[in-house]
Amino acid sequence: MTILLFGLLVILFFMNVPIAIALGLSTVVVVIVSGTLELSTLPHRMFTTLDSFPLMAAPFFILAGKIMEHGGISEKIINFASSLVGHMRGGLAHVSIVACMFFAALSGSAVATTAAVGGILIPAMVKAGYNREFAASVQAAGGTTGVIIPPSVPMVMFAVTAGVSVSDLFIAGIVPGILVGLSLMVWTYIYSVRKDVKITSKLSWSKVKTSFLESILAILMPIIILGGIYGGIFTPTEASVVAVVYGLVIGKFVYKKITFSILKKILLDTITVVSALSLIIASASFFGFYLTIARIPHELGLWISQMELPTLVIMGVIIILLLIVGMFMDEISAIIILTPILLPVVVAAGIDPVHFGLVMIINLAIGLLTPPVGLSLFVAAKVGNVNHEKLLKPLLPFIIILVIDVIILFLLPQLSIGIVDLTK
Amino acid sequence: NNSKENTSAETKENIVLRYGYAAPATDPSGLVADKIASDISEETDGAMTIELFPGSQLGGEVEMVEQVRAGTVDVAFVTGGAVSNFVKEIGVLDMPFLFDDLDHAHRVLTGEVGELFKEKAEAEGIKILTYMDFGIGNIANVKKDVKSVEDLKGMKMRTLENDIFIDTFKALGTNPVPIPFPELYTSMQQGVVDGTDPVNVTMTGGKLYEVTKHLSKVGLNYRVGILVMNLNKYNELDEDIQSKLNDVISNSTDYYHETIYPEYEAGAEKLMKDNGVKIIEKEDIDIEEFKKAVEPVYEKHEAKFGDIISKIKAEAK
Amino acid sequence: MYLYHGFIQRLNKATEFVTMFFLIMMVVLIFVQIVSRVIIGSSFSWTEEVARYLMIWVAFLGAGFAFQYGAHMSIEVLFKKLNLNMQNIFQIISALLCTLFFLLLIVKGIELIKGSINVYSPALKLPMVIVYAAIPIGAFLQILNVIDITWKFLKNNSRGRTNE
Ligand code: NA
Ligand code: NA
Repeated sequence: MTILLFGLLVILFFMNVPIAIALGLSTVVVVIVSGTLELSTLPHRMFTTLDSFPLMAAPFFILAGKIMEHGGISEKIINFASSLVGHMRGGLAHVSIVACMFFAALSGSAVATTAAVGGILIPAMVKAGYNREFAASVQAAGGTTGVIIPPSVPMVMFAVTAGVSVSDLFIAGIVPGILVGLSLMVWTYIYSVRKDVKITSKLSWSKVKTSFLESILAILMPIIILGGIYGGIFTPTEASVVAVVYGLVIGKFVYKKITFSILKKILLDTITVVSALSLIIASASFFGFYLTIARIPHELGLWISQMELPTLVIMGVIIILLLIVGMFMDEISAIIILTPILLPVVVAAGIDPVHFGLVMIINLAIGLLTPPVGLSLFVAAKVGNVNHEKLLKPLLPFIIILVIDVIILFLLPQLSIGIVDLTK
Repeated sequence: NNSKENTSAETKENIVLRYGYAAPATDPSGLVADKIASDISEETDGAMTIELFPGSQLGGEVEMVEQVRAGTVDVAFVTGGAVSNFVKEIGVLDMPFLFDDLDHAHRVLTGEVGELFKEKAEAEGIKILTYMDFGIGNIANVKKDVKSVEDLKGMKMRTLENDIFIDTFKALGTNPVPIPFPELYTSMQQGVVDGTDPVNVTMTGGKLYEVTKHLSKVGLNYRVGILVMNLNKYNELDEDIQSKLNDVISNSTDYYHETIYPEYEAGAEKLMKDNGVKIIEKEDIDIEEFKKAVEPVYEKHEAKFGDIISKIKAEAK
Repeated sequence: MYLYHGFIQRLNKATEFVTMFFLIMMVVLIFVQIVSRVIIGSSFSWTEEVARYLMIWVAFLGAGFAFQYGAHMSIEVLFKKLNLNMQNIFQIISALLCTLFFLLLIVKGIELIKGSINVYSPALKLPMVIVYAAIPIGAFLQILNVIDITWKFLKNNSRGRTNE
């Protein structure tokens, strides 16, 4: 059945059937042939997957990004950022990763991070002379820090499933999150040097001052969001709505750029993107539900747990397993299913559960960048207005770096669990 | 002789049940599920086996009940709130201070009222196999020791999207805030809400004890765990298998109430104390004042449950 | 077929306005939820629920006209390498498969609605029938649009050929 499922999926993909429908239809066929599920599960599963408040953050941030872009807010922020870093090679690309890391400290989701930061900075990078595909890839990759730097929804899920402390896992994520961000910046620097991205201007303090004063209302926006979340005024999901409203007010009444017809275009663009993404999320969830019911990840995990191999080899196999599972399944489902199976194996091998959780979360986050189910990839493609297939090549170096990060962070527990010990 | 047993079991038709629950496998829901799964396989010589899906793998609680109705999932262990979406009468259990103690709740659920719920559930295609204590709702917060209704005034309290819970918190002078569970931990940490009304399973399983500073054992409401099964699937079982299933469930329920639940509750309290949660005992709280304050909740909701509430109150000692 | 195309265009315009209105309502509801909590210290229990259901309606209704904007992602690498005849054949098969999937969603969606006549939402006690209706209606709109874009695709391809 598994072979039939994946075979059908590949055939449908190559026939140019939309990804959402390919996922749904191949699962439907397998469900009918094997009789494992009632087909009534299909609409119901699609519904309940979308019926989620935290999920709403992504559409709202996509909307906010478009409002900022058309409302002149992005432009002001870009001018200010360029005045600061425009003289550095790869300056804006670095800024966009740092912006992801800041946003990661507010949001628990990689997709929301990519949507929120990418909406502003992809257009900015394109304007500054970066290749569009590269700009979108930076945002997709940078977004992974969203689940590494606390808070993090997958970390909460891991902690709950594994019975470890959420706050320990949060603390363990701080240094690795920063390291992952920095490691991604290494590649953006190499890329900028190799492609000779043009340097916009010399650093001039008077220019910094003027652009700061001009953009002050725009710069207030991230500060309001940041302050609002940490001041306990609203949740990260609610913050996305505050961003929409603030952007609309500034764009309409201060910068006076948003007209009725522009607003219509913004809304319509957002809706087509949200619909396309929602359809994929919904049918990917049905596909994942079948995998769960058929116990495919479960069996794979059991198979690994029964291998009697040295710790390093087992960990290597687990990393590969998580990369493969991450290609097809969303991070939360993979954590819930695999943690109880893998945890006893790694604990028996002497690995600390919190350390393992951190490695697992980064490992699975790579799956957000890989097809066929890679939500950060899709969101970055959509907010960057570029075909998702064109992102695979520029994303590859980032994916390789992330895999290296996973290996380093596994080999050096001092960077994660070591920090937790220091706080005790 | 082991292999002989296996072959004899294989010749029978093997029934595999999918059994889902929301909690992690190490929680009481998981321990009792493990027991039911291993006992049924043993009692039926492998003719019936249970595949367990812990940790909301099959979806949230309401979704699991929906799947049980549809037959995608055979058995699910969920809280009463999830079933009350389909069987309105069960919503009565959400009423504040409904039971005097756990014994009172057991008498009601194994008696006339429990049977009534079962009948109503069967009309919706749901077989209720058993009721188990899920926990007692208390008041957790990050601000102060809550010993009286006055202490609670003006606090932002997170609760479920359930009108009885919301009205209870309103009657206590707080501002109920519906925040989804995945955002609750950080919301309490960052102060978006001041507190919530958890049972111990959510305190430990949801790691809320890490962010909670004060826990008042008010005993605001009783939460029931219900083991539900697809009615057709249950009715289609051979009489022999059905009676073995009933025996296993009944024994496991007893074991749950005698061993699993009390051991867990004692461990949970120790865990919370060790993590710096200040626990305020029932004796130090003005419970009568709380009961008086929630009277408007009864005035508003009593009518829709007919005579169920009076039947429940009649079982008090 | 031109009549059909005109009809689809008008239908999509109307759907676009409905979804835009829903999206604005989502923003308004959540904003009201924040403001009422921050200012009067209390919030309605149902704002979040209604916003979620609106999002589901937006997603399913929008998925129909999203076809017109080429918003649904697919894997085009191989497809683009095919000659026009093969592209036409694949496009027709793909459209048939999509239609099959959406038909299934309509049938199963209606079953879901029939089985939920007595089910109400937790906060506002909305009949879930209203919410679930988004699924078959959205699937129906998607079928209409798939037919329309397939026809346009075939027409463009044949025009491309005569120009060559
Ligand atoms: Na984060
Ligand atoms: Na993936």
